[in-house]
Amino acid sequence: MGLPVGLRRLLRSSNEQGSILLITIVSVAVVALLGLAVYDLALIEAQFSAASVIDYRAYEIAQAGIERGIRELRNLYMNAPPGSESFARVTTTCTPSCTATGFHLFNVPNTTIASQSMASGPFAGAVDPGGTYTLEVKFVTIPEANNSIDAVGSTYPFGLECIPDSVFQAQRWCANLAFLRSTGVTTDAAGNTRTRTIQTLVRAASTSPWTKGIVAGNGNPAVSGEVLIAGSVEILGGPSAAPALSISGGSNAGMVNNWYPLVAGSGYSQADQPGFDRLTPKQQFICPPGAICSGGVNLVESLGAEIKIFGNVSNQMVTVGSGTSLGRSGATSLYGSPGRNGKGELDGVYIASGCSLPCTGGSPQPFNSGASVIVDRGNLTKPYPTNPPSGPEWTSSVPGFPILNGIVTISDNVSGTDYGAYLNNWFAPHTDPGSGCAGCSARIAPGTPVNPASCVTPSNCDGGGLTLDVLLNKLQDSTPPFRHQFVFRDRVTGANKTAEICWRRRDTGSDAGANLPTSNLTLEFGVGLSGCENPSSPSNPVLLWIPFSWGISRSGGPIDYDYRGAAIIVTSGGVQIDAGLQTFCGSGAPSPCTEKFPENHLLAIMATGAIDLATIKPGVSRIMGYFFASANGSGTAKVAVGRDVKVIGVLRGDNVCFSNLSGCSGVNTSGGIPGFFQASFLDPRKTPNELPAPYEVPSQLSGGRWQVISVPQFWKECRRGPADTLPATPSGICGYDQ
Amino acid sequence: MIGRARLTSLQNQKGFSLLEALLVAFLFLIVALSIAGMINSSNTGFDVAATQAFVQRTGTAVSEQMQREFTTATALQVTSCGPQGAMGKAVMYMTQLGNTRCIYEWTDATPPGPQLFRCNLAGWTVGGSCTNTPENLLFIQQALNAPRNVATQIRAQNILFQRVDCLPNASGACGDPGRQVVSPLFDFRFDLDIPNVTWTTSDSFPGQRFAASFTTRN
Repeated sequence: MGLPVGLRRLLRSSNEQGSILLITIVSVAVVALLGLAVYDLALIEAQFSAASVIDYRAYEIAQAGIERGIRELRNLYMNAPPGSESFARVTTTCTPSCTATGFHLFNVPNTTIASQSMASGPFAGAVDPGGTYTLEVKFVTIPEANNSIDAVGSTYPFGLECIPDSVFQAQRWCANLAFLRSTGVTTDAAGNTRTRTIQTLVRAASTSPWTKGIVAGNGNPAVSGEVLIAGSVEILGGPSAAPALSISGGSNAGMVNNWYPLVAGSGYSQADQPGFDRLTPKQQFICPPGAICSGGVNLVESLGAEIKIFGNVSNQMVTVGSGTSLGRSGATSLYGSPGRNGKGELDGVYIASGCSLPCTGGSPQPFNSGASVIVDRGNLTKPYPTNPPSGPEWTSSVPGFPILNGIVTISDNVSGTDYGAYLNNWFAPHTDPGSGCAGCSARIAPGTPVNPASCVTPSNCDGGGLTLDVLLNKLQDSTPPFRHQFVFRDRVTGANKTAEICWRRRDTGSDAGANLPTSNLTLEFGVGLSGCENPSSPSNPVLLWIPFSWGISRSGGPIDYDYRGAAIIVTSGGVQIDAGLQTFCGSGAPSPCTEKFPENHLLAIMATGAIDLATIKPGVSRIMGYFFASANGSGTAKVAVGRDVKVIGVLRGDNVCFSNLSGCSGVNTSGGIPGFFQASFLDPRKTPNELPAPYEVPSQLSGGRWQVISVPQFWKECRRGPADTLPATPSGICGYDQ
Repeated sequence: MIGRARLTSLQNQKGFSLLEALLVAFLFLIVALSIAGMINSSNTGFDVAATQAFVQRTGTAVSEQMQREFTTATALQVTSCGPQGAMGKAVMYMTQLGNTRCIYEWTDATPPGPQLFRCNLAGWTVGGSCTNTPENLLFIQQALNAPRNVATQIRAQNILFQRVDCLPNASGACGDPGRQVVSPLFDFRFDLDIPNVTWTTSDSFPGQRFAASFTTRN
């Protein structure tokens, strides 16, 4: 018996259809399952991608906050009258209190970055959700800045010297240093929220050339010769510079980062104790990179010596002679009072586009083969930090290397005013009656007789009846004594001010007056009707325009001339100094001096011609002053320094040449290797505002005298997790010791 | 007559039934093989997607980690360091506290091939040796949920670190003023590949290519 035919057919038919159906269902199920899995994978990937994008957005928003915060701090700093700039002025914007020792909120408006969508392009319609940033500031105490290991038990990359704030003295805050934090938060359309925090240390650094060591313009080379340089060298360089800096002379030459070579017994041929005694010791000793300064050990005095050359990337920028070293290994022996050690390594080297190690070997490397350069952490590779270059090597108003007649901003201690040409538009109208300074007599035209208005008996002080151009060109031991009264216009008040320049006042008999200097051979500058009896100070210097070449030259063998007071002299022509020229040391000539350079006495000379220092006569001991040679863009003005001498102060010129045969057409090569020792104001805010500084931004108060930037090595991202809260100080997840 | 006809009919039906069974079996085999092939292809596709995603995540994570380290570095230098002596295969950098590290391409004694390693150096000098056991930057990303065993098979190829000296003009000249960089800058490129898992040798390049430019804020 079999199944009925119809049933068998039906079953057969059903089986066939059922198999296919089953197979199809199973196949579809498998494929669907895999499709779902791939889709799920794609979703996960999309979520990863979205999280990555939003994470990066938060990071960029935090970076935007850092830039905003730096700008706000810069505005706060720059809007203050010269001399009182400080980050600690954030008294109206910090919450809960500016006395906090940790981070506090830095309230600034408009911290939200709005959402926006792409209008066109391949990603048209994509939405940037925007976000917000929050800023926090922490002021830095002086001990913390100098040696964080001792002060807060933390570890920062290195110690920094700072400017003490003059208002918050009890807190011992630094005026020019502040930690800044920015926290960026953003949320995308899917609800992903990310938070990232960036922290850095912000510093206001002066861009004035008068706070540097040697500042030079274009030249091939711009700075050259046999010399020992203690301090910074900054050079604009140019397309043809090859090299921009050339130093030789063996072990008594090169570069150092301290004043130790001046100390008697230092072993250097430039030892000059009287010069050293006139310098103010640094008030803050710092912990150098790589040192452990726990317990206050290993702290050093530093001049902040750096080499900065914008230069070019085609040629070798620096030539270092055989046996000569730029920087020294390790700290010096103890010296001075208070006893301290000098920093050995240079603070930094910044040349053109940087270099590949070993950075020596000639073009295109910046240093010649075998050059010895000793710098913090051995890092020679850093590029010049701005492009185009910035002050003091460059001014955007010329543009190029700043000239004496460049554009400047000068403040009356209330607000800044822009002047299109320093010499023509500011200095001349403050000294020359022919340039709008009614009642002034500070421009000494050739043939001008001495004005002995301070003397009862004019013949005691009239320079023997000689005119001033004769007396000043050149001033010698035998130059007759004189007291010349004149009038210039005061920067702060805008009113005319009586001043006096005196020579050999002790030899003016009954008209010598009070408060005499210790040495007969003293050049003096004073203000008020009492003239030289009331020495001018760097905060209130005398202005004098000498529209002819002049100089100082001893009559016989080596001798030192003193000067007392503060004067800013512009010379139309060259200047030749061939005698020791040092600052007044203080009554009774105590040792070390009670009156210092440049804090008490300062002579700043700006010439439109060459400035020659000790290039003729041998054995010149020291020349102390600030010197600026500017050809005003037509040709090249040089500062030339001959043998034996120690120049202490600032040198600035198109070219700066020391003893050598080729640079500046050759400079006297007989005698000992000269030395240059940078001597800036301890508080760079005290640098006389009458001195022209680079101008960078039109209408900017205080000019471009300050650069407010993140301190290298202090920029970092806090390693915060989703549940982390930020520490109140730069420690833990925001610490530098990780 | 009728009974014979029915018998003949049944006999015919049995014969057809066997033939049909064979035919069905044959067809089923074809269909089954097709389905198996499809499942296999789908599975392979899934593996490819998962592996590709893993490679993508790993490359991104490596790039982001390097970005974090290089951004805070105080010096960057494309030069030979660690065991790597070839130019363009290593970068040396200095941390905020002055420690020197090296990231380099290196092929271990065992497969799968060249990978990215990081180690500490004694000082800021060219060609310095590692002072610790090098870390494999590709392996330390294994928290990224790798499928199967591909995490141990991933390799990096065509690694190139290239210093950017300046921003060249249209003619490619580098010596013009104003073209120098203002912080250390270099380009970085690498390909991530998992041999015999994802791609064939006929591809134009193996794996996925990652490229970035790195500079420092310090």
